[in-house]
Order: sequence, then structure tokens, then C-alpha cells
Amino acid sequence: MEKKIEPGLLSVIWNYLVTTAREMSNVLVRASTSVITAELMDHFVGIYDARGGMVAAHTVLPPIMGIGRFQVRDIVEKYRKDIHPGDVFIFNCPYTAHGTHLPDWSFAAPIFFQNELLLFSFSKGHQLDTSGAFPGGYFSGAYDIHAEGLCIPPIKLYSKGRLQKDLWDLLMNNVRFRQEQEMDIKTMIAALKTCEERCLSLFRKYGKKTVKTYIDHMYDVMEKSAKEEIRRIPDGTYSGESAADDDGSPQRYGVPVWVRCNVEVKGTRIKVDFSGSDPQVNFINSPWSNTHCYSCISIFTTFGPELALYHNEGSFRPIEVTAPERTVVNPRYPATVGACPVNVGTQIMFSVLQALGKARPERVIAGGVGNFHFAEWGVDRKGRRYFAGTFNGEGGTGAVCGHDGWPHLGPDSCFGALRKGNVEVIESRHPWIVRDYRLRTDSAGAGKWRGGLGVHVEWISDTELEHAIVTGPSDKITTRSYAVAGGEVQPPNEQYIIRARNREKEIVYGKRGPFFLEKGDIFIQNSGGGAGWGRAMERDPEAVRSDVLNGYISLRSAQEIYRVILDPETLTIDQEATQKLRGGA
Amino acid sequence: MPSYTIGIDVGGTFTDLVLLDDSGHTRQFKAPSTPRDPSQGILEAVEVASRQMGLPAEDLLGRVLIFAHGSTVATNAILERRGAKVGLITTRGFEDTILIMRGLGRVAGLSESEITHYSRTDKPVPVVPRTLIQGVMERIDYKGAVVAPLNLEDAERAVESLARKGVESIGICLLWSFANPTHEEELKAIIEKRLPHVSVTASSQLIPVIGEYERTATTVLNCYVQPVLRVYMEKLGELLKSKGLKRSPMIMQCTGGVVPTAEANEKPIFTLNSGPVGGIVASSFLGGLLGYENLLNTDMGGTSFDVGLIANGSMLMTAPSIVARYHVSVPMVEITSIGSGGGSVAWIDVNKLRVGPQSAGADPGPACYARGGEEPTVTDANVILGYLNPDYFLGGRIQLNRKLSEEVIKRKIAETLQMDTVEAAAGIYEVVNAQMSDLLRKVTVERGYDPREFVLFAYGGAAPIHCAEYGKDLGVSQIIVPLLSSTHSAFGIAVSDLNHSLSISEHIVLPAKVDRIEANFKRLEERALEMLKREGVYQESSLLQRTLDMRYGRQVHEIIVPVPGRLTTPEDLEAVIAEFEKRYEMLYGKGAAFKEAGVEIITFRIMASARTPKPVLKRSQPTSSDSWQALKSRRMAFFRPSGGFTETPIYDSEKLRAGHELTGPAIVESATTTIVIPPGRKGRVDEYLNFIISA
Repeated sequence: MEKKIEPGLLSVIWNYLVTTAREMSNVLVRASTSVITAELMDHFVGIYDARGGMVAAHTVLPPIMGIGRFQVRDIVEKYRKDIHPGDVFIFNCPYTAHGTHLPDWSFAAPIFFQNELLLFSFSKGHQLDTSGAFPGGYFSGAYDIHAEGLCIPPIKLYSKGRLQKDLWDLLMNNVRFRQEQEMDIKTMIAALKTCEERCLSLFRKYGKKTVKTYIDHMYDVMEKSAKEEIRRIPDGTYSGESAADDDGSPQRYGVPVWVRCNVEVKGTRIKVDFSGSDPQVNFINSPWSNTHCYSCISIFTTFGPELALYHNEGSFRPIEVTAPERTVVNPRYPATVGACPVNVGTQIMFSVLQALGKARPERVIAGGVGNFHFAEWGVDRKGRRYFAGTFNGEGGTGAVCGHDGWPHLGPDSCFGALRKGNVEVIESRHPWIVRDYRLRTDSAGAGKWRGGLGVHVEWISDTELEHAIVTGPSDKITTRSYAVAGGEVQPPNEQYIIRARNREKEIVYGKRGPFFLEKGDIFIQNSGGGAGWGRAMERDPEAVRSDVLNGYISLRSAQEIYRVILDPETLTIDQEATQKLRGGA
Repeated sequence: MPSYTIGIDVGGTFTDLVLLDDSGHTRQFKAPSTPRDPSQGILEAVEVASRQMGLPAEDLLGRVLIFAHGSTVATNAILERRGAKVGLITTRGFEDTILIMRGLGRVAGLSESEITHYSRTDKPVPVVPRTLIQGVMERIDYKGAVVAPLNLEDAERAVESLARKGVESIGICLLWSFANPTHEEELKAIIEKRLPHVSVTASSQLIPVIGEYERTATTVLNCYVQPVLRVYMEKLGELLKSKGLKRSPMIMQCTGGVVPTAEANEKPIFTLNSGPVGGIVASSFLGGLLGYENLLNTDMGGTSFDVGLIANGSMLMTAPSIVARYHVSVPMVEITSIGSGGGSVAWIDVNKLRVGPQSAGADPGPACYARGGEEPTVTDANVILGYLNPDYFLGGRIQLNRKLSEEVIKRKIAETLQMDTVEAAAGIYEVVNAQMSDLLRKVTVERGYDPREFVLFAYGGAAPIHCAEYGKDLGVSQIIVPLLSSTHSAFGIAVSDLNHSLSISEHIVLPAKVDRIEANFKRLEERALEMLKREGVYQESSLLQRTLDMRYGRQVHEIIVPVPGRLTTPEDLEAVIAEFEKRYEMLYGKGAAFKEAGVEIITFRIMASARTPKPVLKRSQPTSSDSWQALKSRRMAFFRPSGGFTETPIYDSEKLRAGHELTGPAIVESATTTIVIPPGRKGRVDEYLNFIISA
């Protein structure tokens, strides 16, 4: 007989599990040495059931929410009866463990209660290093996946509570920043422990049967909610496409790599089909698990915001994703994947959202400018070797119905989880002098609601010692984003190096490098903003005026794009002239 | 002739006044707050006290030695955007730092559920608009060396431009000014000469710590509230003086201590969020009296549930903290809040009952206030469950309408979830309790504390109704509802020490010469003692507490580590490192420490306190444990363990005496407080007349 569900208790258990996932994330953020984990929040944690169903997740980095659905299942299938209390699994391989790119190492531990395997705790974080040709794994010239770094299948790092010392030595002997990484891995495992303790106390309090019943019910509730949202999308087949600038291979410089999708909506079901996407290339390929997660999260963004914290296995049930093999969205071994999550991942998101924008524009965000950060290494201010990702050049995100985009927020796929370093902190750690760091006028796409602005940053290398950058996953320098409901697309990203020795300007595309810098070389980034939503001419003239006052747009854009006439001296709106100009169009 | 100490907490609804006399008596008074001009509410509270004590206001105020108050003037000026017209001068090229907000501004200070809404995640409207920000040519590098000297012509131009635009105060925040303040000082001199009536804040003087965004935000917010607070303090000072107060009023700070008016006028940002901090100080004082070192403090009011920790006798501090969605570098007593209060609204989200964070506030308030409130709130549930007496809410000041509570909960919750109204009300009570319990677990366990080693303090209007439940599963040893639970913050403000918090950043990789570390502390301490002397409160017993913000090499976040005293030998420094590692493991688990990465110091801080005279609270000898004489009536109240509505004895809190004991189910009522004791739980009154609930 079905147990009666008490709404109060449902709320208590559900929130407890979501809170637990958030606690795991806090452990990672506070203790990590990796700027990527701690400041970019490039990590993902969650609780999964014994079959790999997602129970709760903390949405720090939403696009790979649900990645454990593939990865925990891999463990369950591979180990079956050989899973014991105290085991901790480690894995990153895209081809044997449903990994994304190699720096993302995942950890999972079974949670047993009264001798029954009930849940898995799961944490995944971008590690400082994962071996390979250059530090950090953002190198576009690798021959195959093995040249990109260590490929770890699902294996036990701890067996029945005991660290597998031989394995540990092998792993740690193959990374460049052993000390930091040891500390970060301890943190990842501490997060699993936290999760286990919390879940056990939940089982103790309510009993395993009750908790299991309620978890199943949580799935049903989310499935119902997701279906309700999908029902509101008009039935039909909608298409979208988005390209990466190129894959970083010299023979294909400047050749865009296309992701194409058809989104078919029928009643309460939604199907995303990536047939027609380009064949697999180098460096930017998106492994299947990555493609699936990015597709689902893109759809989730169009759902009601009250659902956002509560997604679980049920949310995925009405969604089907397919992609032909040997394409950029479903590559086969041994294709390289270094820049996949944010690069083709972004194209996946853009193409799906572009398609949905045709169906339910009022719920769809316009495109941002993809990823625009660089990775660097060298010798830090204290004389130690370092590797870091640097995000202060990131562009803005697209607008949404009713709201301008967020300025300087970074890749859309990070949903604003990305933070920027203080210049003083950057300068005190790494050999840079930052000369200029400001919002970039007219960098956003216009619209009734405009995109958020990009920035202009000038970096001067400040060391005689080794200092190199790679533009890793950067993109949208030669390809464009998408706007929604008649908005306009933003100007592209651009970046270049001015060499101290000859003052020559060298344009720097994405997926290039390493560029070795000499003291006094200046690296300049101009990031684009986000695209607009709705027609620019419908933007409130007061908002246009305020943008001019703040230097977000120029007087000229106000007049030519938004068709608002301002007095150049007083910046007051000439209502009559504006109306005439707008009415005449 | 008795002398008095007065503490005042200006809340959203009431202005609370606590008066302590030198014989150890404490009295509490309440007057309606007057948000437009809080000084009126303060005067009214003084009048209420004067009337009830039968003592003319002049005589009352004439006998006051310490008049301390927590002001919401600065906080409200920011929230309601009524601050000054601020100009900002930055290093050329970094004019947008305060607008970029490190990408944090979009979500800083929002709850998780708010973050998921686009409509709530717009950046705050800038406190200083782009048109009032001027960059000047100058540059100092990370070693504090001048790379480009301050271009004086450019500086004059910048000041002139701000002058033309009529700014009322100017902030200066240049890159690396905490390492070398000369350019900021030069600029300050130029401004003071050109604009003698404009208040100027140099970031290197206000808060010389690393991180230009947080330093700029701190400086700008300081400028924003400075003229507002100054006008208010002058007016209040004058008013109180005309009524007979001989001392200058003190004002509460977020650091947990009070300062004289003059100091508050220089650093008004330190007065932000100081009301809730008063509650933590009060607990600290009472905890000291009762012999508890670990206190979990919970304040449940109309709109929020605020939690602060005292561990090993010290209030937990945090820096940076978030004010009006900006990150500021001011160290504050850490208060964690969620939107769970008496006015929090219950709603249904896909078959799931949820409570808050939306609140019906004081106006229109819960449905039972009968002021047009149309949303089911926690207070409505408490009325239905029989916990609140509709005829005796706030001593009868507000008549509650039970019928309206029932209607709204039936219509908005019970019918949708297909359950009866009482079940729905019980659900609301349980969900809000679980939310608070989750938060308590988070603030203790996440910081490495075991709640079983804590006692829980419950105060504020609604906490005593809920504390027995939200404190139950944590395993705290006992729950204390203080005698003055509804004016706890005002009491804390009255007993606060005077203090100054100073900090400075220097990045030092350990091990390092002890002298280098000592020199930074020395510099801060000299400045602090000078301030205490200037205020005439320096005593031999003045306390200088040192802390360091430390981290492992290359980590991104620091933790605050206390330094017991002067460092003279390398072993002293080793002890500090050991303390850091201990705290680190407490936070992140045993074995998480990682010495090989090296330990670093980022920021030095000191807190200089001068003790203010403290009351000796009156102690009553317990007589009998029999509480029958306080029993005033019985009514039906809902308790799930007893199977639903149960006839419950109601006790009159005024008639409870030290030593009295009672067993739940029971309810204790006074004009200001309702305490719910669930079935089987024990309650007793201690010698200071606090009410203790067994855990």
C-alpha cells in the first residue's frame, strides 16, 4: 500500500537533502587552493540514489548538473556486488567513465545504512592539473586523448576505508602541482564525508523506508512539474545552430565548427536531436554525458525559477536527447576534448535555446559571448611555479524578457557563478600589472532589453621569468551569438598582444598558445556583451538616457540604434524628435 | 541617588528601552518606532520610562551615566537609498570597480531562492553613479612603490569636476593605497582645501586592507551614510541634552561594542546592522553570568530568523560581510539570517508546503491582525494551534482575529493540499521549525562546532513559541528564554563595552621574522590606544585582542585566528600556526590540514575595548518548585505527540518565581512573550528569572 505523503515532511526531507548538497559545495569553496574550484565555482556536487538517479544537487555550475547520473551508473554497473562501505571511487575518462574533459575529476562514495547501499555522495571539481603536454590541460595541439592527460577509468581510490597507496602515488606522480592537488582532493573527499554524515542522520531520524518513499515521491513531483512546463511550450519542431570559431588545429584555423539541433515538443515530452552537427574535430568535442547535461539544463532555464533548486531525477524523465556518433557532440575514442565543457558546451546551449526562443521567447535568454578567459602559468610573486585560470576579461550575458543582461559575467554556461579576482590580489600573486579594467561602452547587443556589457582589460606582464598564456576555450571572436525576439547581436570578442620589443600587435584567437610573454608585453582583451531581447526601438527612452549617462552606450548608439535623441550637452531627451524618429521607422 | 544605564534598540515596529540601575534592577519599556525620525521614538520611549517610573524625564536622564543606542539610521539610509550625493576618486582605469563588483553584486546578499529569479538578480542601483566617479593618473605597485606619481593637475581637475556636480561627500580609493597611502593623503588634502564642507573618506584611513572592490565599497558606503548619520546624531544629542542628559550618547557598532558620537561620525559604516549584534552581546553577558561559554543565539522576529554564535566566550566575527548587496571589509559579529519570522508567508510549491522568505511584515501583517492581510503566516498558524492568545497579543495591544487566520489557511493551504485547516497550520509550524533547525545545524556544524556543546538562547517576539521545537534535534544542553527576551538587543546594547576595530593588510609567507609581524600589531595598537585616550576612556584594563586572517599557501579564502598576546619568540609564532591548523581542521575536518603548502598571513586586526561599568543583576533565591500560583487559565493547544488539541495550562510569567518548575504541555505568557513547552519537556525559572527549557 502506498504510504501517505505528508506535505510538511516532504518539504522537510527535500530541503534537508538540498541543504546537504549545498554544504558539500561550501566545503569545496572554502578550502580549495584551486581558483577554478573556489572562485570560478567550477565544481559540481550532489546526492544520487543506488541506481544513479539524481536525488539533489547544488547548482553552482548548472550545466553539468546530472553528470553523476552517468558516472554513478558506471560504477554500479562495473562493480555491482563489489561496492562496500568506505569505498571512494575516482574517475575522469570521457570514454570509460562518462567524464567531461580530463581536468574534471569526479569522486563518489557509497552511503550504506543498516547494511544496505542507499545513496551515493558525488563531487566533481576542476583540478589544477591533469598531466598532458602543458599545465592545466587547455592545450589545443594534443595528438589524442592520451596526450591531453591522465585518463582515469572508474576505480577505487579508497577500498573499505583504506587509501590505495600505490594508486595514489601513481596519480600524484603525474600531476604538476602535487601539494595543492593533494589538498584539493582531500577537500573533495571531505565533501563526500559531510554528505554521508548528513544522510545517515536523516535515515536515523526517519527510517530508510520513509526516506526512500519520499525520495521517489520527490522524483514524481519534479517530473510532473517539468511536464507542466513543457506542456506550455507550443507543440512543434524548432531548430537552432551555433558555431565555435574553430577547433584550434592549424589545418582548420578559421573553419567554424557547427552544432545543429532540432527540438521537438509534443505534449509533455521534449526531444533534442543533434543530427546535422559537424563531425568530431580536435580539442572542443563534447563527450556524450556533457552534451546530455548541457541540453537538459538549457531546457531547465526556461522553466519556472521556483523549480531551480529542486531538480532531480524526475526533471530529466520527460527529456530525450540523441546525437549521432562521431560528431562534435558525441565523439568516439580517441578524440581530444580539452575545451569541451565550455566551448562546444556553449554551442549546445546556444543552439537549444535559440530553438526554444522561437517557441517560448518570453522564457528564453539571449546569447552571451561564450567563454573568454585564458589560462596562464609561470613563476609567481613568491618564486613558486603556478598555473591559474584568469577570468577578468569575461564578457556579458544576454538579455531576457523584462531584464537587461548581466555585465561582465562570464560564460553563459556558468550562470553567474563566476567571480572575478581583485586586481590587487591578482597582482600580489601573479606577475601582472593591470593597467586598465573597465566596462566597455557599446559592447552589448541592443534590444528592448539589452545585453550586459563586456570589459576592456590591459594586462602587462611583469616578470623576467617564464610567463605564458593559452587562450584555451576562448571563442566568439569570428562567430556570432544569437538574439531573441528581434533583439540585436553584440559585437564579437577581440584580444591581442602588443610586444614590448617591437610594439607590434598580434591578434590572439581562441584555442591558441602557449604565448610566452616577456616583461612589458601587453595583453589586451575586449570582450563583447550579451545579445539583446526584443526590438531596440521599443526600449524605454529613459533607460537609454540612463545608459548614456553611465557610459554604457554612446550618444551615437542612442540615436542610431535606439532612436532616442538626447541633447548632447544636458543629455535630456528630445521627446518630440524621438517620437518622430521612432514613429517613422 | 541611583545612577542609570540606558540601552535602546530601534526596531521596525518598536523602540525598546532597557534601563539598568546600580542596584541590579532591569526594567524594559517599549514605544512605537517612528521610522521617519527615529529620535522621536527614542524620546517617547524615555517618556514611557519616565511615566512608568514616576520620575520626571529630566531627573531620569540626569542620572544616566551611559546612554547607548543601536541606530538603524545608516542601515535604512542605504536600504531606502536616502544617503548623500557621493563622489568617488579612483586610480585611472579603475573607475568601474564599484560597478563591476567582481561579478559578485548580482547575487550577493540574496537567498538561494532569490538567486534563481532573474527579476531579483539585477545589480543594485549604484550608490555612486558612474557620472560621479573620477579616475586620476597615479599608480602604486604591489610592493607599495610609486610607479607613477599622483598627477596633481589631474587631481585638481577631478576634484573640480566633483565640486561642480555638487557632491556632499567624497570617497578616495586608489589601488594599493593600503600599502602606501601617500597618494590618497595628497588627494584628501586637495579636497579639504578646495571643499572644506564636504566630508572626505580615504580608504587607507578607513580600512587599509587588500582587495580594491571591497575597500571601495566600504569607502563609498561610509561616505553615503556619513552626512545622514551626522545630522541625526547632532539632532538626537541636542534633544536629549535639552531633556537633561549630561553625557554624549553612544552608538552601537557591528563589531559588538559602542563608540562615542564623534567616532561614529567618522566611521558610520561601523554602525550598520548593529541592532541584532546587541542581542549577541546580551547573550554573551548573560552567558558569562550563568557560566556558559558556548552559546547559540536565535532571534525570531516578524520577518527574519537571525543566528549568531559565541564559542569559547568570543563572538564569532566575519569579514568581509555583505551590506545592501555590497561586500564590505568591516569585521562584523557574524549574523546569519533566513526569512523565517512570525510574518513569514506559507505557500504551496508543487505539492510542497513552504514558508517564507516572503513576509507580510508589520503592515498589513498576518491575516489575524485584521488589517487586510491576505496571506497565511506563521503567526496565523500559531493562533489556530492555540499557542497565541488572541486577546493577549503584546499584552492586548493588538486584538487577533482567529477566524481570519482559519479562513486564509483553509483557502490558501488546506484546500489545495486536501487536508484540514488544523493539519495545515501544524504543517506550517513544523516546516518553519525545520527551516530554522537546518540553519542552526548549518551555522554550527559547518563551522566545525558540535551543537551538543552549546546552550541555545531564544529571544525576539516569536522565538519562544518555536524554540523548544527548533532546538530539539540539535542536542543543545538547554534552551534559555531570557527574562527580557523581547528587549534582549536593547539590554545587550546597554551592557556593551566601548570598542574600536582596526586592521591592515600585509601578505607575509610564514615562517617570517617575529618582529615583522609584531610591528604591524604595534602600529595598530598604538593607534587604538590613542583613540581610547582621546575619548578619555583609556584604562589599565583596556583590552587589546589580536587576530590574523590566515590561509594555506595559494588558498583563496582566509580564516580568522586569534593571537593570544605579544609575539617575542619563533615558538610564539609556531603556536599561532598551530592554532590556525587547529581551526582549519575544525572547519574542514580532521586530516584536512596541509602544512606542506605553507601558511600565510594576509590581514592583521586588533579590537581595542574599554570596559564600561556593568550592572550586577539581581539574583533571587529559589523558594519552591511549585508553580501553581502562576497558573492563570487553561486553553486548548495543538500538540502532535498528544494526539492533537490538548487542554494546556497557561502560566502568568509575571508570577513565576525563581525555582518554579513545570512540565509540558504548558504555555507561559507575559505582555511581551509567549513560551510554548511541548508535552514531556520540562521548564524552570532560574535565579535571574530566565526561563529554561530542557532539551
